[in-house]
Amino acid sequence: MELFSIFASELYSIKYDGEVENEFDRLFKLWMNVEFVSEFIHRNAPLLKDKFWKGYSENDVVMLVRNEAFHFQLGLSQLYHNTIKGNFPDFDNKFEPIHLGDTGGYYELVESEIHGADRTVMPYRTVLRFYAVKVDANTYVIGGGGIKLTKTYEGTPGLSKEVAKLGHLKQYLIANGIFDKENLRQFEDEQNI
Amino acid sequence: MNKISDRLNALAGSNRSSWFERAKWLEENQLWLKKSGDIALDIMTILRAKKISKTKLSESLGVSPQQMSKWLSGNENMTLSTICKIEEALGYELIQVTDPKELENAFIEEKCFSGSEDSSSCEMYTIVVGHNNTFKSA
Repeated sequence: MELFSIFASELYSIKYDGEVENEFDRLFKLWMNVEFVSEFIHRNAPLLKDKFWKGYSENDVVMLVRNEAFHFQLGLSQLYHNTIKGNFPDFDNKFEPIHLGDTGGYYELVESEIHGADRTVMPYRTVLRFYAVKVDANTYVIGGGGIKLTKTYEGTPGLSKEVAKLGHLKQYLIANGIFDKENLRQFEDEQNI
Repeated sequence: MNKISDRLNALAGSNRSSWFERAKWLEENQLWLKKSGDIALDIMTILRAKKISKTKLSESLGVSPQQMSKWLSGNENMTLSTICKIEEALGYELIQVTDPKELENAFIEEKCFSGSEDSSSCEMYTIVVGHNNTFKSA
């Protein structure tokens, strides 16, 4: 496993053994790949029968994914530009805890948060998720992600595995001395919330 | 080395993602990327509807499966030659170009309605296209 820097000192991503790229790059390339997304959506077409997807065809969702991936990258690019100017992003305001099951202490990043859209006001469909481990204030390591077609990640095939990868990432970070006793305790406390 | 960010940076070393350059490239090339994505999705839709495998299509076009996957990614700047070959193999039109005569007529009509075209051209246009429109200058 290897660590990659995305935003210096704030956002990192892990490259797992056997993968060609770190998770951040790997996922963005997959989400921009029409062949991959089209096959994924077709394979999971029964999930689109939920009322949440009323009026959406398979191809509508494929285009939604590609469009969201595009704007996600441009949004992050804008944050990166701001960083160069000295305005560091408030990632603590953009990453949200994954509350379900025993996954406390793990976080997710969605496109709407990058753009500051208020999802309670408008019907905002965001399907792309980055999953991350928080290692310090405003500091996250991305360890997985995917296309979320259901209300909970467990409902979309493959996403539970992506969240589970965060456990391996956490072990790697502990083994490499990223967590000290204090912040590891804090991390464990968050897991028990 | 106490700060966590220092430890992270030391662990990452020279490993830096090139995502920023890629995002810049996406922004600069978004117009044709949109069309390339739509064409790729059209091809995927036709293959699925007609139960044609990607392997069969790549074989009929004489290209490798890897090349086919590049086209289907929606991130390739495909040439007109490539698009025409795929259209022929699938039996479907993937892109449409405005007929030059229709375009010419559309511009004449626009000028006639605005009154900037002389009346003889507008009368001729009415006869040729068979419109009953009464132009300002006619």
